[in-house]
Amino acid sequence: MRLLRILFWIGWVVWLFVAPVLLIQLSSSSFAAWTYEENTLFVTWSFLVWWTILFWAWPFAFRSSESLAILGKIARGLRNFPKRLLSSMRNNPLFFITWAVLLIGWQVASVIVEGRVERTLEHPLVPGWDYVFGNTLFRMSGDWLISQVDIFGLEIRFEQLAPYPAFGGDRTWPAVFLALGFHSFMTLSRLVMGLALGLLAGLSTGLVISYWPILRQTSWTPMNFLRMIPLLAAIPWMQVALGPNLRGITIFIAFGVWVVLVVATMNSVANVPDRYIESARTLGASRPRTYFKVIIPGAMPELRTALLLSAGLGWSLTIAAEFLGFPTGLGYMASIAVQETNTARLVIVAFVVAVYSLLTFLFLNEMFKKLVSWMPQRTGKTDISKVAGAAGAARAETIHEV
Amino acid sequence: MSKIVSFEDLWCVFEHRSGQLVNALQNVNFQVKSGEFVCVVGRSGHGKTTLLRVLAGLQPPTAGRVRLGDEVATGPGADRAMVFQQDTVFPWLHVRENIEFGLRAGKTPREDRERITQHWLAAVGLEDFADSWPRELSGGMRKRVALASAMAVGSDVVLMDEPFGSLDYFTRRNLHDVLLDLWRETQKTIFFVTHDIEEALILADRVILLAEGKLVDDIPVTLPRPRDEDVRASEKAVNITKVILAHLGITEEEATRA
Repeated sequence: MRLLRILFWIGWVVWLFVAPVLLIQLSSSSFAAWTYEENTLFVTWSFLVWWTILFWAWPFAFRSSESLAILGKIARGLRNFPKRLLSSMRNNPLFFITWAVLLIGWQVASVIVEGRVERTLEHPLVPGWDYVFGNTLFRMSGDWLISQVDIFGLEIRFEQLAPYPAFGGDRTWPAVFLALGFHSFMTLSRLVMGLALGLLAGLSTGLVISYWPILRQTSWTPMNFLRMIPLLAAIPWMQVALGPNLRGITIFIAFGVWVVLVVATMNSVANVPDRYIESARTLGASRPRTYFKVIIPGAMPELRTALLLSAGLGWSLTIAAEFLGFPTGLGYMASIAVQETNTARLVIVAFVVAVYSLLTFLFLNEMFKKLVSWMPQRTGKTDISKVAGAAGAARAETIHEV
Repeated sequence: MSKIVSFEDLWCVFEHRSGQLVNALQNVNFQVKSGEFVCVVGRSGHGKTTLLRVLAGLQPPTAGRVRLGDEVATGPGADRAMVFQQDTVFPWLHVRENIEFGLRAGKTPREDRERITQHWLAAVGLEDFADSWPRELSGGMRKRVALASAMAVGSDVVLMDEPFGSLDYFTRRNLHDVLLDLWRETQKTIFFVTHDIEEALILADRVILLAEGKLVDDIPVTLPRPRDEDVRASEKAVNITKVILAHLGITEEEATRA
């Protein structure tokens, strides 16, 4: 069963790359609305749609009942969304009021500032939402730059998807989303590589160091010294030493995450209460057993926090590295905003990054939750009654009635 | 078969941060027969816990040794399981896994492990909570888990460092009964540290009195069991109490006032 599960997931990843190869094979048929000649694939929207369909067909083919169940859940969620939104507005009006005040306040500020400040810049200093999501977002079609990619001798060309405003083409809305999608893809691929490497290396180094007192003592000072290196200042050095490429930025992000995570892991392990360790030892547990069965689980709550914070750090490092030295990615898009003193562009990039980092946080949080399933989960309303006793219980009940 | 536990010329000296030396244990000598229930009584800071930690192997003595039978006890081990004052039930393991912990560490075969765990779950009355998380239990129930975990490893000697100190009166009395039942059933040697004279009178065969790290008296408690209110109000019991109070430097008058 377990093997089948693993095969399913590996198969899905492989299928991601096999599906387009199949589509290329089909290109000569009359059904295909894309062309392939002399090792060159001209990607069209129809190609992308088919690729997406084929990609999602995998789970429906091999785990149909589960996939249908998830689909049903999503459909129910969408159907109930208005109702849930209304009820959450009633339960937590402050959240919505805060956002409304911020958004409206910004618009009001834009009007006031524009009226009073002499315009010397090309773009408004405090742009209204109409300017941000009308003018500026549309103008970001200019960031649609990628014309071709070579993979294993295969030349993939994107010119049929949308014209390139940067090379004299018309501005179009598809180009806006292609630009955002392309730069997001670049950023995310760098982040995933760097973060995966950094988290894995950091966690294992920290746990290995913590096991042996001699390593713990000797590495404490050097590790803290490394941690103090101003990483942002090291970006130019990184470009020279590691090269301004995927490998370079991966090592850079991984290093930043590693260094912080090693120290955090050592701290988490050191903070496990002695009483658990002593109890395990008097119950006859050997040193390795105590480490793996008591110290590591006991360090998990703190480790989870450290892992989540490291992921946040990974985001900052990726964006900063792109900002200072890469011609692609969300950080690059932000750097253009700074060159142009374009607040509106910065708002859009910041919004996109915020959404992605929130999703990263939720994803990792969900993943790490399993590690501390034994802890009281501080979500939902039922726990209020446990924490606050009878008074809280009464309150929780009234909340449930509402 | 249980072994005799002997404390031989035991010294334990700590260096205070100021450089001052503190004698936590001074030349402690005594022997405990197997199956005895020994209460170690003294004021706080007078070496009770240190004595227990040395016996557990968690604290090396400065001089002297502890013997179990013929062997000198070094380092902690499953032959001297310990129940701590604080809550040491592992919160990341279910109740059943907590009780199994020592058995797994001792590589007990699976079938035996399940049987023994089930036995101790029943013995402390937690069968219905076998698959609960510790956080779902009350403080008293968690103490039962700790008790069962220590009992389940099958050591002949069980050490208890004020295990019921943080519990309310009724829970404590209830756990005294549980503990005495387990002791009668298993015939284990029990070292029980407490500062509560009443608790010592309920439980002990013998009271070891420590003051400033010295063994000041070794009092056999020959009261009939069960030690209910009447027994503890008897002349014999009152006399033992008076002796203990006198050793601890407290007159009866002071004690009643407190």
